[in-house]
Amino acid sequence: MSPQNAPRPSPASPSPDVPLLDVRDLRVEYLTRRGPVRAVDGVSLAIRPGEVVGLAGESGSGKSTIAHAVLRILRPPALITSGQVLFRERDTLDMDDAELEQFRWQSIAIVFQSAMNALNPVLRVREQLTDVMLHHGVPKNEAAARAVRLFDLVGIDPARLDAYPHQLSGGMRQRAVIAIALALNPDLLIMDEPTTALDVVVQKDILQQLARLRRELGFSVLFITHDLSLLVEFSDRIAIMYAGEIVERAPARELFERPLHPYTLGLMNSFPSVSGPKIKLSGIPGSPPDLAAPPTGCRFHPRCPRALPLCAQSTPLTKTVSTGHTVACHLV
Amino acid sequence: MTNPEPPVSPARRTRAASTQLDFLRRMLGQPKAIVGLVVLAVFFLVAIFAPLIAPVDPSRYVGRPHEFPSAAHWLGTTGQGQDVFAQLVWGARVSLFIGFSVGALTTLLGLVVGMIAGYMPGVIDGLLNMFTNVFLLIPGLPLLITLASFLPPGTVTVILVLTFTGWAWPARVFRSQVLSLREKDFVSASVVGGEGLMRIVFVEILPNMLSLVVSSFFGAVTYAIASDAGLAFLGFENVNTVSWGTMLYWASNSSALLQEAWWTFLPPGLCIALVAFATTMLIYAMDEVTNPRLRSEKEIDRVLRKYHVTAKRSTPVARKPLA
Amino acid sequence: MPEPNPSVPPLLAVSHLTKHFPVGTFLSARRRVHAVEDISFDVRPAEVVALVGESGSGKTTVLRLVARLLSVTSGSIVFDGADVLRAEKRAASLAYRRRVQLIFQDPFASLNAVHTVEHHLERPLRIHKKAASPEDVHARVCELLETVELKPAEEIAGRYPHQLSGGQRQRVAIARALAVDPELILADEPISMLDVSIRMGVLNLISRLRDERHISFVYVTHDLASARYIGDKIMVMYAGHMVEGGEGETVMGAPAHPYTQLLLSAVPDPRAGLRTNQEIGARGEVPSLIDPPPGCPFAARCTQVQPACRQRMPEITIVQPSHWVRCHLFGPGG
Repeated sequence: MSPQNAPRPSPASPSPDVPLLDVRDLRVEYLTRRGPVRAVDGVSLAIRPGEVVGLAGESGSGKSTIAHAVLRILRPPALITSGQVLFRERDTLDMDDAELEQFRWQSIAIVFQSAMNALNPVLRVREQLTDVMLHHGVPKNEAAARAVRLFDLVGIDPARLDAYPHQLSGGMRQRAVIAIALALNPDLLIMDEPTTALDVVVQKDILQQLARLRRELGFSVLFITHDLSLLVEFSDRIAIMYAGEIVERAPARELFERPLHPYTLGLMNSFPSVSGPKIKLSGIPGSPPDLAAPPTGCRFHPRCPRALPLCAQSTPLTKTVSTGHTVACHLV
Repeated sequence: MTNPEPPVSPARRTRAASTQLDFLRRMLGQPKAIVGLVVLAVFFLVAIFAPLIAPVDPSRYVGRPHEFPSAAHWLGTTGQGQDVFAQLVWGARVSLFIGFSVGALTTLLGLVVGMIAGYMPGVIDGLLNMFTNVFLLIPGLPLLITLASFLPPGTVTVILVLTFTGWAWPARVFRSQVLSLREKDFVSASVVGGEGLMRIVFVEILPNMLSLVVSSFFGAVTYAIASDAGLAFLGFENVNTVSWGTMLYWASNSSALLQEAWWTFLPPGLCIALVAFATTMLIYAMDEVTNPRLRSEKEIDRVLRKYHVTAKRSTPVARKPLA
Repeated sequence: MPEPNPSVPPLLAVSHLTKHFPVGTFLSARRRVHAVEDISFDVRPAEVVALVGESGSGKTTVLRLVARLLSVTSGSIVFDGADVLRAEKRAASLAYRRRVQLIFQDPFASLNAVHTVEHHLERPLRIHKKAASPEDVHARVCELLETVELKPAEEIAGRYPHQLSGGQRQRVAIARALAVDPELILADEPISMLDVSIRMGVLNLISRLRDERHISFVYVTHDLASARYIGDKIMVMYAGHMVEGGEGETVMGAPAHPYTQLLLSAVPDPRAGLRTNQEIGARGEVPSLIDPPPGCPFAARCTQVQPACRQRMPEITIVQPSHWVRCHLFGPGG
């Protein structure tokens, strides 16, 4: 847990070997009427100080579940059944409620998709901002000053601190939510589909603001979205999730230029472009699997255009193809 | 704090599972529903087989007044020397009949008014709504008493009076539901498809209101049984009909409390309470089915206890796979 | 709506369509939301016209006006040569409903949870007398399901919406629209709520229906990329007004209106290289649609704003063949 005002290692040269967050073999299961469902099945992911890691996947991939699990904010019927979540080498899965309440927001904060759900409609935004700080022991006048500075940082006129959420536009509400997330200067900001519900112009604006904030405050970002094209522009490294597992990961540019897993290829084949030649895209046939009864072997094989009989029989191991580029596929 | 979508794809069942049938099936499986249904079933059976169970004329004088319960008279006698048990059994017919008729009539009337008001915009809705509001504002008991005093006493009067004062609440509730359902895309899709008004209201919208209609019905029955008892007790019904309510009236008239003749008022009071309890249980069962969170939390607590989880407010960590 | 050399008469011709909603109660001051203002466009047979705009642009309202789910404040809708609003004043005729259909954005909300897929497809068939006997109806239902690539048709017909995935539900919605053999299908953001990997399948289906069955589509979306993918023509809307339009490739290749340029620059396009450092022009948000001031609605955010922009709405100027724009930068003297 970092003190609020401690200087951070420069984001331009993050220490390459010591991860800030090290998720190891995480397993999250849901108790459903049809039996236990493994929403996240053996996921390992590391985030280094000052870097942006993108997590791409569609509905049912488990990407949101990971974010919630890291912060231990999943409610029953969800249960973490194995793995470690090491933040600066302390396992959050061993922490009790009191430690977690200190840990959350100071070390890792989260921004959700729908700001409407995160903001209390009957409180002014100023209060919601200062509440978080006061709850973590920040003195009153410092909290007030910080609120002003935070709004400035996210690009909202501090005069609007006294507004109620419904008086702000969608884009401004999302910025306010980001301000609240940054209130205690966390080391890692998890963003779960933060711009999906926003217009594309506002989205671009907010992401640029976020880039500026990163340069100034130096936090890492775990950016979760289904929009792969956004991730390629915005993240340093990308991990692709399917049916609870990470099927490929690579530095952003490398993934874009040399995607190897058929699912990654299929995803990329789902984004028409606004420039360049018009080519026919086909997406991926079928639908995501029922995790209560997942496919045998590789979970993607029923939808894979290049599936071999082997793919239905055994689960592919993760292989390293080049520096930082791993794939879990029998064809590679 | 809500979880992200759990990754269970649409259930692939071998036979189509209608949402309504599924709903009814699940509701009837709830322990609360079973209790409620059993209790109601017992009362209904007693009412139906009254001639077999208590082959005594409940209004006849068969013994001395206020006789203690005995082998001859299982629940003793009333202040007028009538068999209490016989009155209880035969009275069940009247009370249940009134309760369930009023329940059905208020629900039906409420549906008609509420659905028309909810679906037809503008003037019609405005008029019907105003009409409904008037009935909601008038204080219930005084209206009941006033009406009951003007009309000839009898079971039909009671039913009419209770329906008259009871339809406005379900009408209001159904109207709100229709108002919100009306805006849904599937209704617009039907309109664009060329579907007619009647079919949209009764075939597309109404089936989506099933749980509301059922709980409204049971709520109305509860209201009717209790109000009927109240009206009878105050003497506004035909006190020569035998019902649980009139039993209470006569008990009060015969100073049963002073006479310590508890067997004349406790049994009917208990029956009224039990029927109300049964219908309330059914409503609770419905709540649990429509709000799955209430149900699952108990089941989950049971499973979690097996894993000795420590954190109460944060995600539990089990460190071994679920069975 | 400028149409160079129209060889085929348009199937749908919308002119000066306007929709204002009153705000507030009967008693309070009468303010109005100008949701749609002076929209004109044509749709030819077997053509996909993409209406592009962000939230508040009025694009969905335009669709609902053409579908006659909402009443028009002013303007005309001419379908196959007939002035619809004058011919059928109070409500749309069954004939109109047979020829013009609508697909909604939310695949779950547009299907009735208590009815099977078969019921949803059966109703339009019966209402418009497309089939009579139960066997006939059932056969048609299965045929429709196969057209939208939902197999096995028999099994899917018996399912309820909650037993289908989002993509499947949307295909059922398309099948329902196809049941009446329409000539025009209005599609309101049909893929925005679907998983990314299944979107293309649905878009390709729409293209196929245009090619094979000669059905026209008005495809409403906020996503320029998908508009470019299937749109033969594109029209860009902002704050209730149309600002630019024309042949898809022409508009996308050389956008004239500052708003279109802004939209284009904001779309994430990894092929164009990392652009996070490029500052986009025009901060600010969409203006309020309640009693808006005169002039171009984009004036408040435009980096190239002129005095004229705040005084009156620009006229339509033809920039190239099949490419028009409403902007003072291109007006007479511009």
